[in-house]
Amino acid sequence: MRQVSVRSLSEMADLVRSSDRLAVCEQPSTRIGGYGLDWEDSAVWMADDRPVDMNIVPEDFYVEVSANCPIALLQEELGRRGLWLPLEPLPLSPFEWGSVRDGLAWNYPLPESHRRGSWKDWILGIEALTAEGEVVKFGSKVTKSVAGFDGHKFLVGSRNAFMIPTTVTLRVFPEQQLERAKPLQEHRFTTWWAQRCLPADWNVMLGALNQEPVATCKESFTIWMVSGPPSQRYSGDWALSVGEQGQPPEFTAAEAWVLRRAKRQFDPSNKFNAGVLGVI
Amino acid sequence: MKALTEMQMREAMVRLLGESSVLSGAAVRRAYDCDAYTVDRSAPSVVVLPRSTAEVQKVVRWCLEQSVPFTARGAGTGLSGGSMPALGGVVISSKRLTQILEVDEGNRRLRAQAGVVNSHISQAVAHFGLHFAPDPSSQTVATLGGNIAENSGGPHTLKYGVTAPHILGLTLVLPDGEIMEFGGGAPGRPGPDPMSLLIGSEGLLGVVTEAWVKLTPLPESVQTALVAFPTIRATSETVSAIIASGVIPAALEMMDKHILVAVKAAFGLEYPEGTEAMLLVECDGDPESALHEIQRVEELCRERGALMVRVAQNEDERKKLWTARKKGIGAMGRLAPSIVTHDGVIPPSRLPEMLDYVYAVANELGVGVANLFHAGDGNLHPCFYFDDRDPAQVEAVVAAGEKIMRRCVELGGSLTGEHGIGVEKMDMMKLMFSEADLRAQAAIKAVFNDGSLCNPCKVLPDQKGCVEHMRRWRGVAT
Repeated sequence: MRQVSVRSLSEMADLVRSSDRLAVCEQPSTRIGGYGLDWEDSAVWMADDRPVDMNIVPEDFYVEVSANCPIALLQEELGRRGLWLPLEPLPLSPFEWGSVRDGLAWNYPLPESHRRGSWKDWILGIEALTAEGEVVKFGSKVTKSVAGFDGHKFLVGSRNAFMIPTTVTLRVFPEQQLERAKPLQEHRFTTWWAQRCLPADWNVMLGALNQEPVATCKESFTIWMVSGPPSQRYSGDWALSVGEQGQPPEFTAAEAWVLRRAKRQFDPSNKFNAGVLGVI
Repeated sequence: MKALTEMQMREAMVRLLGESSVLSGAAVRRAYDCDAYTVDRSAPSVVVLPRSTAEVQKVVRWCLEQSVPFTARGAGTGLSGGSMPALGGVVISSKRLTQILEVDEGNRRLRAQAGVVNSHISQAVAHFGLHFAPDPSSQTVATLGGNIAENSGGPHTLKYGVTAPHILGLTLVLPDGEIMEFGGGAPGRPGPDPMSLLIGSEGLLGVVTEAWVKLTPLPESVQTALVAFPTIRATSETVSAIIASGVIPAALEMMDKHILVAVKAAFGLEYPEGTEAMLLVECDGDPESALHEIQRVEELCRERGALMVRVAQNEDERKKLWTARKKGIGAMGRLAPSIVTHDGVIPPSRLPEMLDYVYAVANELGVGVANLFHAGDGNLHPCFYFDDRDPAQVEAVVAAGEKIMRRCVELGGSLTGEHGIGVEKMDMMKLMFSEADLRAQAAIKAVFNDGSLCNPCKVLPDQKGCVEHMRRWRGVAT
């Protein structure tokens, strides 16, 4: 696979226009950084080497940041101003190795999300490159806006299958307001699974586990395990695998219908991360 | 295809749903030609009152076969013309979709039809110590379907969020007549969520008929304070100071003196002489933190020259304070025959300069304005009061609204925080979005709705076949 470094938005747009297949990911040669896809040899891996722009507005609790900004750098800069994005250091997650774009693309289930929300709650706006190489914007910079469809929220968890985020506006939080949770765990794994159920199934799910969970969250009814797939499934639950056993997210038939239609609208030639969502 | 007459449409709907589920005639056309945004009007041919998803599907399929436009409508409390039948046709009212279908206390969720009134949901589960958190000011009449269509906010949005995070699943009749169900299970699925697009889509992507809603535990303790200030600037600077302090009140509402005059006359709300504006602040949570937060708020208010800080001593007092806030717009009926409530958002730190601008615009254009709004999240609601029988006043109000929206966008804000774009702000979308952005918005619409019959001529500007009609709507309030 050919790697092309882009150093500006216009170079990025030119590459999009001139490519038939693009790998929009952290590192295609690794199972997790490359979404577990078997990339076509003819695909081009776009390395986003643009300079990072970051505009932190502490008085209004938001940051506008280049999508290629490493999450660690963002947290460091926010920390200097007494702010943070309430991400926990999940093993194998982009929170340590990846960029804001990776965090959005994966949308991992977060511990404490019941209190602190997750990417879908934090994202206020986005600028993204379409498959035609055009920059489009969804959302705004304020926490409350219903102008137009919330395309920015739909792109969360999309693994860059529809557009390439270039700039992201995120809501951030005062550090003192939220007590940081302990890291999920300190050891490294090659894979992990998460499973979330409806509240009424929580005790049954815990009792039926055939392994010691890495972590549990009884408020969001989520468990994290080192091996999978989950031994038992429950009505309305979902599971996600990350790492060596990584798979695309699960979708219902209705969701898959929407994703296929969205792909036809936004990336009809299947240019971006072909196959990454499994259903399109 | 030959256009159907109103009588033919009525007969067809009666065949589908029965006589008692179809409304028509001059009075009906007048009653359904607008929602609470009264500047633009367009009448339907017939109004139908389906009782189930299957009945909605029958109507949508018939409309599709006959190329008749259709528009869903809840209680008609929308403030941007979202349920105005822009091209006539059939209005699908949710007035009889009023069943609470399932209360699942164990999973803290409830399934209801789209026409269930917002506050009825909380009433139905109060004995479990739960409630439905979104609380638009119209919550005693506004429906769940309308809340979903507009992604409604409300005073408690500051802490609890708008409608979207409280919707776990929904049933939708697509514009092509298919029934689809989304969500309903454990929330937070990692993949792209179609409900992100559907909630707040203003009825353009289909007709929502049922939804699973999240039920939130009632707070253990609530502390509510009413604070009077001698100047608008001191009030708005206090709002910025509260937000910057890291306290996130459950609600942080602001009322200026024009509202206070009306509210005093209507509800007997008392405030000190020299008051130019008031804040209503509510903190909740466990008793200790709610008390600590309200004390911190009180300190910040006093530091900025508050004339009075009154903390409600019991639930009755608290309810009275909230009545004044929630019925404030209604009380403005005492000031003029018509009110247009605008809705724009700015970053909260820009509140002081923005309020100065709102009063300056009203003064320049000679229209009355009062402000009653969700100050904590920068969501302004300048309320213009006027006589809609005078075209010059209508024109001035429209012009004032456009100026204010332009400034909101210039300050990094949004055209709307909770009322939606509807027909009111369709043309203003270009202030906030480029042509390319709007094409992307149109592509989202096409994911669900690639026709032009489902709530046509809304949200996206310059739609084919709509521009001529816009001239017809505007200024026909008389």
